[in-house]
Amino acid sequence: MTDRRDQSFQQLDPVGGFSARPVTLLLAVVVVAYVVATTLIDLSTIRDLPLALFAVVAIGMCSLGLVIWSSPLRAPFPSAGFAVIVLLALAAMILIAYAGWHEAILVPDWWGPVAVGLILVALAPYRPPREILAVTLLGVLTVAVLVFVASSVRVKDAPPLAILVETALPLVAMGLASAAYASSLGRTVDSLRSSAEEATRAATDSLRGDIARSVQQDRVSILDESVVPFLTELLRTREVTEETRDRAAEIAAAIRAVMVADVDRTWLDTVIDHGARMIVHPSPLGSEVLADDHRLAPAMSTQQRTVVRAYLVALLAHPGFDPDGFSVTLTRAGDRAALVLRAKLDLDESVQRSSLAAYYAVLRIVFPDLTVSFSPPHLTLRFSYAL
Amino acid sequence: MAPEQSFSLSIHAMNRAFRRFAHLIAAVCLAGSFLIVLAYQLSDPGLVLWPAAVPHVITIILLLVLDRRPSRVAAAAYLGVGAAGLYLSSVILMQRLPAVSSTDAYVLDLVVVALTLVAGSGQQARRTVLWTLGGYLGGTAATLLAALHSGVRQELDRGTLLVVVGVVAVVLTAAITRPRRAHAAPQLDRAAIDERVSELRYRIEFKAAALMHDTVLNHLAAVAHSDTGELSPRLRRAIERDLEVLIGEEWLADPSPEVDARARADWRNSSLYAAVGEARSRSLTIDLSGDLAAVGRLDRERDAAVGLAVAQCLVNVEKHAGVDRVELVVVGSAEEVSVMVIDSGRGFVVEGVAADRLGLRQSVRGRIEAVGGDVHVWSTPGRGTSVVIRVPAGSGLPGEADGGGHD
Repeated sequence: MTDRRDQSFQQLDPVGGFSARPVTLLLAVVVVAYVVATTLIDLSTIRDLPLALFAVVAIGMCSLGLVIWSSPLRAPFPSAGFAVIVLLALAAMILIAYAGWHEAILVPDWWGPVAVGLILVALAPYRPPREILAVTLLGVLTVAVLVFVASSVRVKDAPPLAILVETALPLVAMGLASAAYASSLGRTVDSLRSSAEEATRAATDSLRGDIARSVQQDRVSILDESVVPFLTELLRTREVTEETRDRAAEIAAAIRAVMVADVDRTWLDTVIDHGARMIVHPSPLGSEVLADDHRLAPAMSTQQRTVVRAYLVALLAHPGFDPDGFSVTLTRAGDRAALVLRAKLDLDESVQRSSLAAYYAVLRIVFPDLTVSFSPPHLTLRFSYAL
Repeated sequence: MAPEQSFSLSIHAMNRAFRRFAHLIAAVCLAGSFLIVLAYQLSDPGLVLWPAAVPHVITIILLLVLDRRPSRVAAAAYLGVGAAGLYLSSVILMQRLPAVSSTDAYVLDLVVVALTLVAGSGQQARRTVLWTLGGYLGGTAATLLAALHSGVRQELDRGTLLVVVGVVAVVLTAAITRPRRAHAAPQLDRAAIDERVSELRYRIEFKAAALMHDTVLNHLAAVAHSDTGELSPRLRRAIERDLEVLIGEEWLADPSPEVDARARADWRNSSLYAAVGEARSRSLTIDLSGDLAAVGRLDRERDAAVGLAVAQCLVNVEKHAGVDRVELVVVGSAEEVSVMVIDSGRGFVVEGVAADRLGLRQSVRGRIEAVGGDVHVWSTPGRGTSVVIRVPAGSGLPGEADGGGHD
């Protein structure tokens, strides 16, 4: 299992990561607004306008990247996306510093460190704390170099240490705090998992007796029908005849058939059946909705099963769900299984904003190749998993 | 099974993380202000500026207390003492440092920001917003009073105001959008429990299937292949036992763990007990049930064989099943002892096991058959595996054993 410290909050708690997105979107807007406003206010101090424009555009692209890559349908936030955003933000910080070189360099209104800091805050739920810390360090080093170069160009009436602290502080503060935020959530997820595991185990263990009785009842019902009368009669007569032998073979074959059918049922059959029972209108789901000829559903891990189970329950219970046209197909593709789910969903809003969106965030974490397409009312989900 | 059940964090945990976030920024701001004062002090030792840095140290200590033990009193103490300290620092710097010529001085703004980020002690967004506004107003009032006292220019700082707006916006956005999260998280946790119940049911069904196979199905097959005439006494006894066990008892439920001291001693001295202990020490969870004391009825040779065979089965579960929990059931009668090792892991096609895979073939089957017992393996890909090991009770060479009642 991957070290918790190498995982982002989004990976550790996909629903939590998803719920952080509105704040991410807000910060994406705030950082652009702040940069544009500060540039306009300090326009008179800017020597090289095109360079300043490039810097503002770079921050705009960072924001766009944040919006796109933090989408639940693209979870988990890609490393490449993180690298692009970080490089663009650092480049913007350097460009805007150079654009105002002759005048307002290295005063608190230099928006570079603030913008990078805000972007790190926005990225905190999506990348591991170590990466946030590493970028913070890189940013501080960049600021230190700029302060050093600037102090050789232009002497400011302040001690160099004070200038360095003033300029680097927004970046240091927001970078460290973002890493601490991500780390604190990660630790909580860990402790919560162990207690949740304990609670789940206790809850299910208490059901053990009931389940055992229910399974036994099923078996006894089968036995009561034919086996018990047959064996009781055999014990009474103590006589084996040709008819007895035929009857014994017949009963054995019937029981074996029931057992084989039981063994052939997968957890996915059970979930879909259970979901179907919840739908009271307009028409029930048929057994043909699930095509799993190679019995691939059982190959999913416990976590994958849990997420698919939760999604199916939510989907089938969705007020806009139409049982007609619902199907789940599993096929084998080399050493992987591919699942395609088709459903008709009467949704007024986009899939990304729907009540199902949180599930996509979680599904994406456990099935990284998940694709969701929705062309109303047809919803199609595709993903694969290792066998 | 890996502990991957929970998909949600409590609101309490989210608030704690936010507090940690805000307090760390506050600490860096206070430390920054401290360093700036220190830098000016070092650059001009003639100016006595260091007393302006002392209140920051006290404020940082109070911040630490607030972070570790959040309460209204701690938050109020942080704001009150912090604002008073800021007033003192501001007066000293405004009067002695030419760079601080107004209330809008970075070294002072940092402290105002630190007070703004008090984050409060409550769980509700409304309270956090009120504490934030309280911190900002307290800090701003302290610098304004110091400006009045020192006769310097009074200006409103744009940066600190933006921090206030930013914090309030973030807190409100998080609070407004929280219901979306609240919808999915319980469903996922419910699914985790359902999944576990489903796994448990599969395991019990598996156990039932193995029992049915080893009892009723086997004996029906024996009847079907019997010669015409009287039912053999051995088959009759076996059928009687089937009916007793399958109809008369709760054969799938865990029996009472009550055992007498002798039985407990028998169990603890067995090789099976040692095998279970060893596997448990490797983090495998083993649910024991059945008549554990029955292993005391095995002679030394069979006891050792059962222990080693089960040890191999447990190793197989660890290596191949992909689960960390296994069920071990001991069923004893006067004539034989059966041990079932049941897991709900990956399973496999029994016929598809390669000839060179000696674990099951040699270490389990070969070993048990050598002491007059037999081994049945039930496995289905994705549904788990059940290995039933049966050996005759009592002593005697394999050839002299009564065959275990298995047809």
